[in-house]
Amino acid sequence: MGAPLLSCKDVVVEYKTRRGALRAVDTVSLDIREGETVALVGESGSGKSTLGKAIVGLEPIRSGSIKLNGTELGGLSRRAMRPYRQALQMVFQDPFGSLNPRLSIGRIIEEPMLVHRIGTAEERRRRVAELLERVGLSAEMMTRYPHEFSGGQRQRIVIARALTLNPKLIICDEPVSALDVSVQAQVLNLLADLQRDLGLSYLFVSHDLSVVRHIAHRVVVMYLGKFVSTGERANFWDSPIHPYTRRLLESTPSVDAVGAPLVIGAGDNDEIPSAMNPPSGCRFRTRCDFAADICAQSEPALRPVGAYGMSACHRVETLASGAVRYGADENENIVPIRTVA
Amino acid sequence: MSILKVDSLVTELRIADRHFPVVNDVSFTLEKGETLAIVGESGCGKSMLAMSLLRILPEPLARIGSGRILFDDRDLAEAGVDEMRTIRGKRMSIIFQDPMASLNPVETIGNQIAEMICEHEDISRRDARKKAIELLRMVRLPDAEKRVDEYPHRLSGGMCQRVMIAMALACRPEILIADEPTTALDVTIQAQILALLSNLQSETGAAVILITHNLAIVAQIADRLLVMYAGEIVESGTVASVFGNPRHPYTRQLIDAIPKGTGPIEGEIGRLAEIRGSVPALDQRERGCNFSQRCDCAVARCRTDKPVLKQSSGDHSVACFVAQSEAA
Amino acid sequence: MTQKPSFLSLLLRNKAAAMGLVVLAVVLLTAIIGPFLYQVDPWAITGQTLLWPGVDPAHPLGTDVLGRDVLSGLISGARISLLIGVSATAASVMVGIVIGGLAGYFRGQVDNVLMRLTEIFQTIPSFIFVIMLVAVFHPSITVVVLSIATVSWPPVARLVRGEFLSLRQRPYVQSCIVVGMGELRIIFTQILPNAMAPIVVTASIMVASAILIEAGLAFLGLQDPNVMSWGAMIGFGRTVLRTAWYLSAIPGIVIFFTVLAISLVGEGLNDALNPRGTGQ
Repeated sequence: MGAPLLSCKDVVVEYKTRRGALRAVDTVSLDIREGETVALVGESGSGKSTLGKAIVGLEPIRSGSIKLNGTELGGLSRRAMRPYRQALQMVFQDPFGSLNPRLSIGRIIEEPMLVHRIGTAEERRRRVAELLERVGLSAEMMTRYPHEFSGGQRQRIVIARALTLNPKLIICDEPVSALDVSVQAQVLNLLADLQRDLGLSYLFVSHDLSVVRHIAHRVVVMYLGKFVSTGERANFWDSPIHPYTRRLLESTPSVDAVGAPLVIGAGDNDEIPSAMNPPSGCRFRTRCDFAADICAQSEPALRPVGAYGMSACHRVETLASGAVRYGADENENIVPIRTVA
Repeated sequence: MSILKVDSLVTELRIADRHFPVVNDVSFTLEKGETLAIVGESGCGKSMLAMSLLRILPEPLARIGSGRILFDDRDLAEAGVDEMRTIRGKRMSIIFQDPMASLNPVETIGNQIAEMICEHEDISRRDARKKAIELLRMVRLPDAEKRVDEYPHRLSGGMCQRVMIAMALACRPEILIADEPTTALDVTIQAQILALLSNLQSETGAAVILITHNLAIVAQIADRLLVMYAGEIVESGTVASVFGNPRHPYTRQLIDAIPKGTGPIEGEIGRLAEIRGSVPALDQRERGCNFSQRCDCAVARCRTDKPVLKQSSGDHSVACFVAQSEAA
Repeated sequence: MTQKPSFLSLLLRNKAAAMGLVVLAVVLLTAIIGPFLYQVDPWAITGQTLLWPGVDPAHPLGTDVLGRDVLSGLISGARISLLIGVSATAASVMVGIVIGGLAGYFRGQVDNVLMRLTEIFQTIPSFIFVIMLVAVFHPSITVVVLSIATVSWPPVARLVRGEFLSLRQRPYVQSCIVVGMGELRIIFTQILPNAMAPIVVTASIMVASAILIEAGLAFLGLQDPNVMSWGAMIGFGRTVLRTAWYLSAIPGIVIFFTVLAISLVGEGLNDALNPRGTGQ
């Protein structure tokens, strides 16, 4: 495999707040190859959307590097970044806020070409028609306005606009979270078709593990600004080796588990700590069912664990060896049963 | 024993001086202590149905057109404002999707709960506060004694939803309506809130009407479900029978459209089963079955006649000509 | 999906706004074609002094202390009032959009400096500030317009800043940044058109307040002495208020109805431009 399309190294994004600096993204590195979908998973406050925005230049990075095809984008001014914009596009979560209500659909899709002074009016019009059909809408819709479309149709329009400049990588920030299940399936299929036909890469930011499981070639789990575990499609799901990944998977309800109780952590009331003031050592330890003394003392590094991928957990070997199992307590809550290794 | 019986309820929405039924001829019963899920996609009328039950419709934009809501042999569809006030919050309460927006930002959570209790019970402020702390403990809000004097913005979304649940259960209602109670929350928090809800339900014996678009939640925590499409119930039954053997094409396709959370992973990214088209708008609903335009197995009759909900087996009912003829 | 009703029909659905629009149209027509239909010089002494309205058909609304025709004064005043109201508003809206837009779009230090400046202007009592400005410079229509504009822009700037702050976070604006659109283009094609609705509503109310300020200035004799305006007419009638109260009352009533009409139209615009009010 050749050089990655996008390469992020030690990226840090900080927000200044009244009470000090908040590290929304804390020293993370990520490669995305051509034609690949990498899913960035995490709960609110994990920094997943911030990282996506930093890649397209919507958030300035504090340090680290973001390279697109070997070109450093990190320090570029808006003007200097313009030529690289064409390769890098973004689809947002809210299909209602993603389209300027005062512009026609045709104009919205044409806009990127206008900005980059591409083609004649007639060529642009033809391209808009082609894009609309490409995303499963009809070319006649170009004279209509956003308020005439449903959420799913709007998301298709947003995707058409993102495709206008023939991008290589599209950052999809929760692209289907606001859509109904039946429409969600349509949009996920569209994204998969486009990837197959155009060789697109996606960074798919999502909190929905079932969607991610369906669409991602590679998964990265983020927690409080850090990557805690990564893995390939084939082996990530069956053996979640990081306790946080495991918690996420188990908390996600499934239509296949009719009547099965939902799994909650051992503490039945664990809150996500503030990123302003993350716990010492391992950031997940305050909610982890398996935390030991070492977890409070030193921060675990992201390291390869067997064939499973990477994990940032001190106790991952113990867990992988099966020394900790789950069982039901007297209230029929599922809790970890600790065995001494 | 059923505690709520909804009979041919029609709720209408007024758009440009025309009335459209957003809830169309809906009938169901709610058994004591059960969790009944009402599922459907946006625009199916599930929230309008919930608001109709409590008579909190945004009048005059929406109103109950006809039908009965029998609660204790009283018809809530006809009940007066004062009567509803004694029922809402005391015997039937609701929690909403956005807990932050449902709480008053300039009042401590303790005061808000206490106020709610004083509204319905003859109790001193002091005792109400004590009871508020008790309730916060019951919903397992950590440090309830301290948190009782916090303002909502100091709490996370999950904690606010706990407070909402405490408030909703303050007067031990017989029916709790939960309208998308966990949609705004993270999955780990969602699991906790749902677990809390079902624990409290078995403690208090309240019946829960769970309104959600998330079929996976329904599969795991509900007893029975109603599937709504374009204002009508298209299928109803126990969770086991509907998920085990979905009869209506809409239910079937809806379940298929959800990416699977378990099972083997194929190497390549497959396609999901999608339901083509979208829910018909209120002014585009025609005589026949509302789903017929999107249905793969629709026959001529589906476009002209409206199927009614008929029992197919046990508690399982379906409103579809094709499914009904298969069963016959 | 139902067709969105047209803007005008939404505005006219509001009965008060429709009434306001009618009154405003009358005032506007008077200002434009009145002088051609009723060719009497408002400054010329054309008859007996202190003629009550309806006494002499040649002077339908009577004459003032010096025997000048009241109706022609009203017609001339309509021109002045509308001219000053509209141009002062236009000037202050322009300043407000530039300052509020820059502050809201660029945020940070730019925002800090501009907003402190706005606050300085806002904390000075506006009418006294106008009087001071007019007194310092020689009173003329231009000076009056600019003085009113000087005190009226801060609310617009604050409003525009708020709109810009919120709109620049909208995904469609973010998406334009991702596409590589330049800053000015984003401001003018994406943000400003979507911020116009509240600006238009505020502007309509500002026209009314500008007319009132002008009337106040003219009443105090701080307007250009060669301009016959409604406020000046009230001022002229002041000395004979007890005997010939109509001299102050007639222009007063006209000001009242004009300002009321503009406010009603402003309210109507607010409802019509508010997306939540469009039938849903």
